[in-house]
Amino acid sequence: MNNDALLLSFQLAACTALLLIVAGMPLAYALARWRFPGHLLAEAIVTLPLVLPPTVIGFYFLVFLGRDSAAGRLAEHLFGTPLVFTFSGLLLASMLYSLPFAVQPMQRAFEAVPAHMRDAADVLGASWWQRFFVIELPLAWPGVFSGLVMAFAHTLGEFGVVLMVGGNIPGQTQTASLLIYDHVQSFDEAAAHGLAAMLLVISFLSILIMLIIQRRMRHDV
Amino acid sequence: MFDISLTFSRGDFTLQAALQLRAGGLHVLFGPSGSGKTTLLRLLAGLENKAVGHIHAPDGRNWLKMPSRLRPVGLMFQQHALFPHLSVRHNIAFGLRGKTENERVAMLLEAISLSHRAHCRPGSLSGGECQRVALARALAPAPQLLLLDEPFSSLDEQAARELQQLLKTLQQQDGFTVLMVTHNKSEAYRLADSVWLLEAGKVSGGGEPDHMLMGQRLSGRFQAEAEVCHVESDGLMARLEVRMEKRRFSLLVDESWRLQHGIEAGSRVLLTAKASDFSVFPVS
Repeated sequence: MNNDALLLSFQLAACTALLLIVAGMPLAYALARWRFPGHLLAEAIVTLPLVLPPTVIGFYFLVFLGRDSAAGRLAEHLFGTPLVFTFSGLLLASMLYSLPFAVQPMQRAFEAVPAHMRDAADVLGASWWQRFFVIELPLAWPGVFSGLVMAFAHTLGEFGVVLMVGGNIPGQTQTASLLIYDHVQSFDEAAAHGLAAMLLVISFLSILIMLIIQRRMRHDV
Repeated sequence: MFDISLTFSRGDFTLQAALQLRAGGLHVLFGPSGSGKTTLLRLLAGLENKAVGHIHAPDGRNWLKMPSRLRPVGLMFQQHALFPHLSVRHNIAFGLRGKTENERVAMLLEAISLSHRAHCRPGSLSGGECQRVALARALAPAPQLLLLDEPFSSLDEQAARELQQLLKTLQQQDGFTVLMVTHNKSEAYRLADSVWLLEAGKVSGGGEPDHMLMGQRLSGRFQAEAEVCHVESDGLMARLEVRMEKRRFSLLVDESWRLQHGIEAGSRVLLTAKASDFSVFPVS
């Protein structure tokens, strides 16, 4: 049981982090590079999950994507499975909840790429793609990597959102943090200790590895 | 001939420039800070795109209608702007496409005497070496017009002279036109075929360096004989230690010039300077 919950937490954290990098990078780049109508609004929406209680995100997720909602029915019709109380639902909710942890480091990293680097690439005849993949992305890579690790570590420790959206179903939507809560509720302190210590070590190592790799990347540049 | 006529506005600042640059020449854009020199270079490179007017090139095309990446223009930035994560070789090759890429890079690396550092990153190079790589990178796609934004301002005197000599040599080889921004009057005087003055966003005129830079202030010429006491040479530049009456001082000259005129220790040389280069102070 412990292994199932831990494995699910890992799967959820890894999928959330990877999908957020893919989906969040265009958003981070757009926020960093362009000033468009609604820019401030978009930035506020991206930042909102940082201050919003997880239960609020979970509640509105149930309201707008639950089985009785129009969007929920559409999703169920398209994918053949409901969003609430499933891994897909957990993934979507985790992506929303961890959005600022992935997007903000990437946005800051793209903002930090000096304008004259882009100018130099343009004058040398680079296409937009060549400029992005050969110059901007490698220079912003420490920030992208930081977004990946932060989203992973943050999702690993989620509680409120996964409880609301997943329903704490053992073997299906019960993550390690929910299982710790269950152990504490049933006075099984030893099991809670074991799992909590494991999450603590994994989270600490993730951050440490991120810092080591970031430092090496900066020295390389 | 490059026939340039541009008007550009941003906020309160308006730039109006009309220049005629002889193809194959080295032209200097001279003016105080904030006069719009860098903006004019950016307009010519296509990095600002709200200008009206024309840039008629010798090839008959109006470059103003072309996007930046299609203009045959090279731009060398004040702070080299080399890509820090790419090697020297890859920096130079960035603007090249096609089968002759390797040969062109090898030729340029040899020209800037950095073949042995082809695989180094810019962070491990000196300021002078970085500027040489930046020059090679700008020249790699064989531009018709090379724009230089104060390329020598961050270098010491010797490194600046070496880079200027390299620029002259490459220009004689490839025949490209140079438009260079500088604050340094003696640099402009020494290098330029023509000088264009830019003041408060307006090109106020252009012409021979003598006429444009000295004007009415040229009121005389100082000259004196001195004896060369000692010569040191690194093959490219020579440092002459000269004695004039009881004073000794060093001068940096091109080695080829020294050899051509047989200047050795014991030779006598004539030192000249424009009177406008002197300042006068009362002796207390």
